[in-house]
Amino acid sequence: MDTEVSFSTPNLVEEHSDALARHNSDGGYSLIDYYAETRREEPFTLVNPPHKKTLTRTESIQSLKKSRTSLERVQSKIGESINQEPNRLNAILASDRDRYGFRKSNHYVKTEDYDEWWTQYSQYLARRKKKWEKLMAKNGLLVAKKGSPTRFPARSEELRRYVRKGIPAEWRGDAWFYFAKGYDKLKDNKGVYDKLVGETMNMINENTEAIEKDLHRTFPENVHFNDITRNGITEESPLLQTLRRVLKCFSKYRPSIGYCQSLNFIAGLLLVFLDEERAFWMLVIVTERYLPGIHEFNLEGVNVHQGVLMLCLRQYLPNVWALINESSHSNNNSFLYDLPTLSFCTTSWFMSIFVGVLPIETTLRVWDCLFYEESKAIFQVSLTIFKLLEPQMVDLSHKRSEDDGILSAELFQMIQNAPKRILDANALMEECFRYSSFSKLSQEEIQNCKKYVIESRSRYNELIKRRSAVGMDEQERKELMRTAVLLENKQIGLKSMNWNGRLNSRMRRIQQRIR
Amino acid sequence: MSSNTATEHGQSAMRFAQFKLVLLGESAVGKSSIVHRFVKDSFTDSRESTIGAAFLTQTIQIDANTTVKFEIWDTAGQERYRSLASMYYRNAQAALVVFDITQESSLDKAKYWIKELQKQASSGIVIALVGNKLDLEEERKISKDEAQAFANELGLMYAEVSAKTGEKVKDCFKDIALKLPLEEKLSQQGQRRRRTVDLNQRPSTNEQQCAC
Repeated sequence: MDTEVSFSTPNLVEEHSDALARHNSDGGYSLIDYYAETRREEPFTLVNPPHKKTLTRTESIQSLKKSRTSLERVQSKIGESINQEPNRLNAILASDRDRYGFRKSNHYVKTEDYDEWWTQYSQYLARRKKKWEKLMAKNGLLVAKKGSPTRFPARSEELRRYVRKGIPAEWRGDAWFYFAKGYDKLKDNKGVYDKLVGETMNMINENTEAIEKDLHRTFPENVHFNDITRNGITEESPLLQTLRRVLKCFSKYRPSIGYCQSLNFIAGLLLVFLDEERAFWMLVIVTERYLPGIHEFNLEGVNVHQGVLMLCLRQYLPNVWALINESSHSNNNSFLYDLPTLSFCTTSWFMSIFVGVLPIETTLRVWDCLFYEESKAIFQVSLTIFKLLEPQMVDLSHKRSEDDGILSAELFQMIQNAPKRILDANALMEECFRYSSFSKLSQEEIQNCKKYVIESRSRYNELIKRRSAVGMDEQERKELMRTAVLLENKQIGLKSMNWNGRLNSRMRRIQQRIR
Repeated sequence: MSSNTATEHGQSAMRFAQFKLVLLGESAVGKSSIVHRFVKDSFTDSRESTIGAAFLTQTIQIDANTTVKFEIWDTAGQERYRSLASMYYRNAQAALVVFDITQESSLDKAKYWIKELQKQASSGIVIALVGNKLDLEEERKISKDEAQAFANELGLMYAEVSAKTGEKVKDCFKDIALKLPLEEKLSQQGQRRRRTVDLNQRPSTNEQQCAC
């Protein structure tokens, strides 16, 4: 464990946390078991949603228990609807919702288009499920008819191919958790989540205020995230109640991140597939291993990842790069500090891992690969999107009457909106991992590249800091940046240090031969 | 070289100019809702929170022969997005700084943004302070006088709108359009069309071509 959990907030009942820890260390009791024991015989009359007022301990416990039972109900409902029996798959055609409860159609995808795609895709899903079952059997892992495996085969070329073709939705949560080494995390942190729940129950601070603002703005298009009105009484959606707990606990567990907008979407989608505690740990793993730095307070990680994406674009999609690079100096790397305007569009690709960027089913396929193949998958998918858009982008740029050197409004809108129409996840994945020049991009290359971007940016920031003491306006800042780059090229021999894909792929071939 | 604008054909004096506008303000004050009301004339009670930024365009006619196209950057409101937001407003010619008339703290955030814009944005930027959620008049926490006085003091435009009902939203954008340096922009656009390509000059991002 690389971070110590601080339990300094004194706002919840100490004895209660201690008791919890005790239970967990000697019997693996869950929070619900504990609360069941301490339940008092008071009628449950909670009128306001739990965040509106400070609750007494009994009320908190009652409401938590109730919310968890309802969550289980919701999750089993989702579980039923993602079960891939043929008649279930057909039921989607009759409904206006997909199998996760999201609206099928939106501004970008028409119901007819969805249904046409789904008719094919649902058959594909049924075929894949059979193949997965065979693969599991071959590896001696038996799966009960309606159950989900908690263990998966050892990593292999074959398994990777299966993951790239999509993990069965009903196994998804378990598979993600397994591949991301969630069970190790859970084992190292027994009882930590329950303790955090206790500590954060009545916590109010800047983070919790931000969380409240975003809760009802998380997947309003999904029926399970909507409040339920029964007999004139509106009850908050159990998924939202759980999401609140997960995000609050996370903000306490990772004070360097706290709450960052976009975590609501990541945690929300995780909760569709995982139970509360595992969703929490998965969120921790996502932010520390898959997207390190992205959600930290200064968001520098976002800029670093954007820089890496730009280097990748320059390397693998030079035609696209020519359209988006605004720097007139073609042979320097100033775009690493002064990111091209394009990065406005691609920020959310990283921050929410494509939630809201790609259609949900496509997003899930990306997540499958991400959790099996590390963060390189995000870069590969981003590159694939650009590769698919390349002809349209070039077309648009020809239509422009003159070259301004900057991205036009039309290009922007295309890059922002076109991904929302990529329903055909299979085509995207095939392009990504079979036909593209970057299909073999390795995590190591991404790591090297990231290191380079971090170093470059910190050198630049250092320079700026030194100069700003003297006082400098925008024009001077740009000028300084240009000279800094020239200087840097001279000093560190940028060309040789430059990230070189071809060299890397040669190295990889050699390494493979040695192995 | 472009020769397809009406002006150059001399058909009539149809004028067209493009401007960058950025929306700033605290989380959940209704920035995206204002933009959607303006661009799509629609409203939903359940809008997802904006991650990073969203880009939209809308064209309005300000008089019989003048059309203005807004390129709108709608940004995420959370505090930590401030570092990214500076990239958005660096080259903007107009800014809508939004607050929620029912949330006291949101005006403080708006004041912060205005200060930031005056420090960092281009000097001629047109700034409008906009109070949203006029439909919740009975829950109002920030008086019109207070906000208006603040705007006057700094020489900003001031408007109160409701993205929900649509009240005053279009007017607000139109007022901004009228304040923008149209003549300057038109002559810039004309000049650029005649300009030879200078490879050593990095074009500044506020030079937008006419997309006719």
